[in-house]
Amino acid sequence: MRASRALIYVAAGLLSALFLFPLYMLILIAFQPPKYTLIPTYPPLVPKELTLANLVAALSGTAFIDPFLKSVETATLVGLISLALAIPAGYGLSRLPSRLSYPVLVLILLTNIMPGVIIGIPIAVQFIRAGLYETVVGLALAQTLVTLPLATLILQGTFSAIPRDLEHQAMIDGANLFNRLRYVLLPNSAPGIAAAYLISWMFSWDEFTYAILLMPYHSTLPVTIYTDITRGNLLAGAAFSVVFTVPVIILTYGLQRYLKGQYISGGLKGAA
Amino acid sequence: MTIELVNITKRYGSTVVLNGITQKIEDGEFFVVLGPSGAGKSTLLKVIAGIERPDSGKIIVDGKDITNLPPEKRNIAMVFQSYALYPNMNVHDNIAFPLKMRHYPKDEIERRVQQVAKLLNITDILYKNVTQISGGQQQRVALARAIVRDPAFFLLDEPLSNLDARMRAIARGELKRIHMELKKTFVYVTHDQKEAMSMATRIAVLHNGVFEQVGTPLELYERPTTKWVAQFIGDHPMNFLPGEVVGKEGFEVGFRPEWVEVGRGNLKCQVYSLEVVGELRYLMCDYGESSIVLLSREPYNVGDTVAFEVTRYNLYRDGRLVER
Amino acid sequence: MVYPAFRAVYFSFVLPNGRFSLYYYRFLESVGLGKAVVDTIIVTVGALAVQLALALAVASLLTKEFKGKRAVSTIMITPMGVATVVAAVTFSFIFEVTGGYANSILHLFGLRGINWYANDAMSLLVVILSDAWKNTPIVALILLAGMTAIPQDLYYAAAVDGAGPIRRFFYVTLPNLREFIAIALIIRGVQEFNIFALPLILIGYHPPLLTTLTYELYTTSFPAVGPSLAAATILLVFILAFLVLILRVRGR
Repeated sequence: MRASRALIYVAAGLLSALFLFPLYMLILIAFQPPKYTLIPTYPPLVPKELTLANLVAALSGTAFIDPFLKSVETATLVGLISLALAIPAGYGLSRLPSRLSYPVLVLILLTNIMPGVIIGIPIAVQFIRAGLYETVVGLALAQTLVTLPLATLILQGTFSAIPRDLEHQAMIDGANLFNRLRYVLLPNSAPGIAAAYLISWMFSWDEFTYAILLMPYHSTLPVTIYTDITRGNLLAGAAFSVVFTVPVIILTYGLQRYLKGQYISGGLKGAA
Repeated sequence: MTIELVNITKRYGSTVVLNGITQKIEDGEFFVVLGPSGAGKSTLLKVIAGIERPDSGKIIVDGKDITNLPPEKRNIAMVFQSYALYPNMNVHDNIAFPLKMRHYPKDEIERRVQQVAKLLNITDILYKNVTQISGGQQQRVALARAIVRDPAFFLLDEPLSNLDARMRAIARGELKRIHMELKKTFVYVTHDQKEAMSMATRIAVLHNGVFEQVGTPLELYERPTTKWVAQFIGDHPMNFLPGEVVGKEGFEVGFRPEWVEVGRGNLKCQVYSLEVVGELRYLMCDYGESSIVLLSREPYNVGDTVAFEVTRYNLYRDGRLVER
Repeated sequence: MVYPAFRAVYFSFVLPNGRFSLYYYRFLESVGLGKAVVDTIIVTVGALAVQLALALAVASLLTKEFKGKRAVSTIMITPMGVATVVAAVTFSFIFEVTGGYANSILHLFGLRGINWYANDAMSLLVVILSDAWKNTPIVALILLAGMTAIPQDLYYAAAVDGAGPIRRFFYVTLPNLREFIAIALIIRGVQEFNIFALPLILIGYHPPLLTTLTYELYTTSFPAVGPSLAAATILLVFILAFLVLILRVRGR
């Protein structure tokens, strides 16, 4: 029995190291002068000297602010549009008998199998004609197409958890649709709404494919990082990456209840 | 408020849940709809409340046809089995909600909430969140919310089923007291015949989509019009034996456990089980292939063979009561 | 969502002068379509295999109780919070031939550094490993959900029947996970066919995958989008075939 206990701890340690490792590397590159990172053949695995110079150089100046703001704007828009569409959709689905709602949900989720490249190209063509090419709004719309199914799924689960009796009671108490939303439905679905918003937001923040197809020139942060790297601007790329990632990791840790929990695995058990 | 149900029919898929229900409920009644689980009682309440629309039929309140009014506009209060308290509000706000929705002035709302809280003894928990109070307290909050509006009448969907037995008895008494104080019409739904018998002014037994019998508790107990009702009502179902035992061939006789004389008579049965209630005993007996229950003051025991005579009975043919 | 897809497929068959033709498809063959297809399949299958294996290990670990489990469980979802681009950048640093950390580690053990991009197979391996890092967590979560649903009694019964931990895994855990493995395969499999940012940053256009090929054609032959659409259509076909395959095997 002792041996298997030890095995568990070894495995746990190994896996943890494995998952944290690349992040550690990134930090090494971002926070050390290049003579310890990019130049030697076998860069040291332990930090030799820490510096903020890379970060400072990369972050000052418009080269960072513009893409950063673009990412923020796009992500916020995506979150809001996703909510605007997913809330009514999720509510409607939650009130349908499961005979009907289940196939609709499956259908919606199926739209996510479309490769970004295959949709992106015709959309790019259309956008150019419609003047939406290279715009935050256009990109946000395209990304919303991808986030909508998951957001709808989450909200459908959230609304299903609110008993129908509660709405009926509100009706009898004299509340019209607006009041029912305001006093009963929305307050009791706030966590789910927040989760759907954040997940959509995070997806947009991370998104690359549509960004590079629909906004190749002055783009969001992910595409900017890519162009930096291909141009050989490695340090800038690394610095941006760190700044880019830290808020998201914090958010991810915060959201882990939703990522692991009720909405997704509950839906999975239903599907399985 | 008199409520008239005219030919209410409701189908779910291919099942007819309510089949042409026509009934008048008088002002101030405590009208109980009694029936086994799933018989459609809740559906009937929802139709009256406006949450469900009937496939056909009309609902007329005090002469006005409200069938096409949405629930918000019907002046009805309803208490659900689950209480449906708003979890995001405290007790006070829950009770105040219906008044707020109808734009009552603030001081009026305050006055009424306090008044109702006193009536139901919940003043001390007014500012607690509804998820933190006990089941019994939740039930009273639900009631308070219904009463505060001074509605035309009340609909209650098994509001006591979630309480334990002790609380249920207490709540029953309180409900009756409130009914008498408010003097309003109550339409109450339950599957518990004991509850119905103890609270109702009239009971309507819902079976197979229709009101199989409507009458006072006493009427239902002493003269059930069908065998089904006879066996549904009463702590012990009415006994049924072939008419021969009282000399009436071709009929069935129905008699309550107390309508017999035990210890003498030419009928005999064997006791297989007992229920002792104070100084009385309910004897569960085998009579031929049937099982019957007799009430006795004598200390009979399991295994005894008991003689009895039926002193009072109703006659039934094909499951229906035959008038003498 | 479906509308642009139809347009894409349609236009892959239509020449600028409006006639239907397989011209674009034949053109693809000349720029290495066959290779791209093979590479895409290799990456998809390889990535799924690696992720499935790793995720099984991780999920199995997480079903046990041990000190610090909460911490491990949180650390485990770290990759989910790292943007794909960032992961790609990081791994491109790690797998640098000179100045890469992977080789540093090898050096630590006294080995010589390898050229990670020496040939196509190695390059694809780099993509598979990086992708596995990012996506194993979500597969692990799905499998974990499935594992926690397996009643403990089945394990006890197997143990009493004399099955050791390895056999219990194969005879109890795996069969009961079939549905969840299928779900994970479907979700991730489709995403694997679609990987784009990772290979673009790590290996560029050589060796080609269907996605990167599509993009390369798009940027080089714009505004003539025919060839790129053709490549994309082929990708779509593969995805659909994959789905059908999985659903068939699952016996729905």
